[in-house]
Amino acid sequence: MKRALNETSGMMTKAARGVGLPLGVAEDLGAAVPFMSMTTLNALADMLADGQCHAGLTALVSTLDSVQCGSYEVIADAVALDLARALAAARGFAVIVDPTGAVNREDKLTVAAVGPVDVPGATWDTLAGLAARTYVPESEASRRAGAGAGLTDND
Amino acid sequence: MKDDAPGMNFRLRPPAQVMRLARMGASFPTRLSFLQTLLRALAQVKAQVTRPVWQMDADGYGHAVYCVTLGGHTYSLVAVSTDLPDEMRTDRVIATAWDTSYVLYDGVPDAGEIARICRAAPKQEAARFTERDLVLSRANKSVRLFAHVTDALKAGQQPDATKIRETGYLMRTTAVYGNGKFGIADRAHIQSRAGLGGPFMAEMLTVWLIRGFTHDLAEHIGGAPLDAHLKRHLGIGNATGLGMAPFLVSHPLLLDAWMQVRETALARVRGIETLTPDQMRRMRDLADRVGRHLSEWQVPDRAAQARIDTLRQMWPRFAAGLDDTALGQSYPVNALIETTTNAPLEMQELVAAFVLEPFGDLIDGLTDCMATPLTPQLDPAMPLADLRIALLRDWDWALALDYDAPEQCAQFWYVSQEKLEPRLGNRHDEDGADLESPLDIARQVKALAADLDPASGDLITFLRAHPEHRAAVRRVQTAVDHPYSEIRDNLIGAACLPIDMLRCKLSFFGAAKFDPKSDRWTRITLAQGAPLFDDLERADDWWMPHFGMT
Repeated sequence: MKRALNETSGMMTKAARGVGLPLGVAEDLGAAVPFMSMTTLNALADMLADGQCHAGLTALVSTLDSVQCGSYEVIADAVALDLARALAAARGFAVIVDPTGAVNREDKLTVAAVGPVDVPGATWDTLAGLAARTYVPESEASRRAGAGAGLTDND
Repeated sequence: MKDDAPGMNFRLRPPAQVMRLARMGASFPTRLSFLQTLLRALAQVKAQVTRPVWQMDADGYGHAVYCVTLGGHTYSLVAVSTDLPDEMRTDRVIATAWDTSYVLYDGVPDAGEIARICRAAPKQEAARFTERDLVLSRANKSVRLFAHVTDALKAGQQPDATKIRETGYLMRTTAVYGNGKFGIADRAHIQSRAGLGGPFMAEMLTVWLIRGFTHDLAEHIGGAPLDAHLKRHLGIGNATGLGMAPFLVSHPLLLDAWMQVRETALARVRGIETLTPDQMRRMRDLADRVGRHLSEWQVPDRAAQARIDTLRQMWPRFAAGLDDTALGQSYPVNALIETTTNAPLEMQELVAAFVLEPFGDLIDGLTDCMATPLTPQLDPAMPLADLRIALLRDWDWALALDYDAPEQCAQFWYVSQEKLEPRLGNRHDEDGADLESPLDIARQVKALAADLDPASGDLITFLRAHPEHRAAVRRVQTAVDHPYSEIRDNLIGAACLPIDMLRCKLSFFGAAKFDPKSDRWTRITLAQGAPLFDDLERADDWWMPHFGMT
């Protein structure tokens, strides 16, 4: 289904929070959505759903901090490299891989995609399911008090 | 923001003063507010509103299309009016049906698109929309006034002026969705367009067109035209709850831009060395208008009314002081601001809004700076020493609080599973705090400071060891160059009143006549006194309107 980029970015951030990633990492992943290919988006959704990948995502964001400051780093995994490219683009630079396989930065701006994007239903469902872990079930009491309003407005 | 305006340079009011919740909750609309800016832009291009479609039965149910061209693009409001049983009429976001629903469409919709929108718009959040749909909204009738107006017109009379004055609108919008919600266009789609690139311009265009539609609908049902004077006083209401509050926290650069523009404008007018006789006269006329506006601002909430009553008592004294001696001195606007230094916050902010109004030539151009293409970025190269300096300089208020004390962590923000809307809970009485939304900025920053204290090395190493502080580091860094980006109060403390956040944001929209229904829910009026479709030439002069204005 076609999704606006803003709702896709927001859903990504919430999904990452839902699996317990640090808020700042979740924000970075959401901000990178407009720079991701659909292949990367799908892969990232799968990684969020797989608890084994969470530490790697946080580490990748840290690795990119080093790259941003001029270090040469190794990002061996192809999916992680694609994700790093999107994360870097959201920060305003590009990553390049030199002949030795080391990743470094290049001063190059990438133009963000303009939505909508066609997000596969399975990917969206995965993200929405993870995001739902941040939602609080309502009681009637919380519904009344939490929003602080009456229930009818026939005046 | 660098300010190169001529004259003496006055400093901007500091963030420590401006960014406090209590002051934000005393905000007033100004000529820099978004609706005012939009209407000036429409007037500048002599925009014409047309109504190519009006398919409405005698009871006012059906649909209509309004078109207006701005900046080389035509935008169309598709308005759908349906029969709503009284028991289903609620302003809450939990509603599932409304009297009227709307889409602002990019272009002129053909019959197929109109039919699509007529099917989808009444379902609101339950439907999906397309990138041709820029804004989605709905509004409910102010039942008593709507019935009175249509009954009067049917009887060949004009409606009772007192009733019009007291309510001030025929319908209230209960949500105005933009930027990608439910599949509508991302803001990026329109952000570079002339006239619609500023913040919330598409939303403001929508509500102004809706307001005109409410007039047309009443006249259609009543079978007679409303007096233009009465119509002009019929704005568009809005009921707003907590859903709006987190925006100011999740968009720190935008908040900074809005505040910097307003504060820069204030500094500019304080720097005016002398006033012309015309400007003095204008200020006195405006002061008289404000007094009348205040006298017509009546709300049921006792605490809110007490604040209005205080303004009513203070304003005549202030207005009487606008004599030739006071206004003839050097830097007279600055002197006016200084006379209110010890006044209640609401009086201070009203005077701040008042002194902006006569000086559009000096400040209106600043509104171009209210949108920002930037997003908050983390700088991993910042030395830890610099981060510590920023913490001590900008966050002393946050570091001073004990977030384990019951009153400092009394509330928690969360998103409700049922409506996916922000809510506020009591941490000590309710479940769900383990899933709280991260609006506890002050607490996050204090936690960062605690772990930063013993740290050595560089920020990259620190963040590798403490990825949980990444968001807080970004906010602290953002505030270095964007000093108005943070609300400088504890948003989870018992003393936090969300209504203050709502009023600040709504004031930037251009809302007036705040009518709080609780500390987290308010009604307001937009576009009261604003130009009608056919008198946009009035767009420069309708701030703080009163019923007697012609």
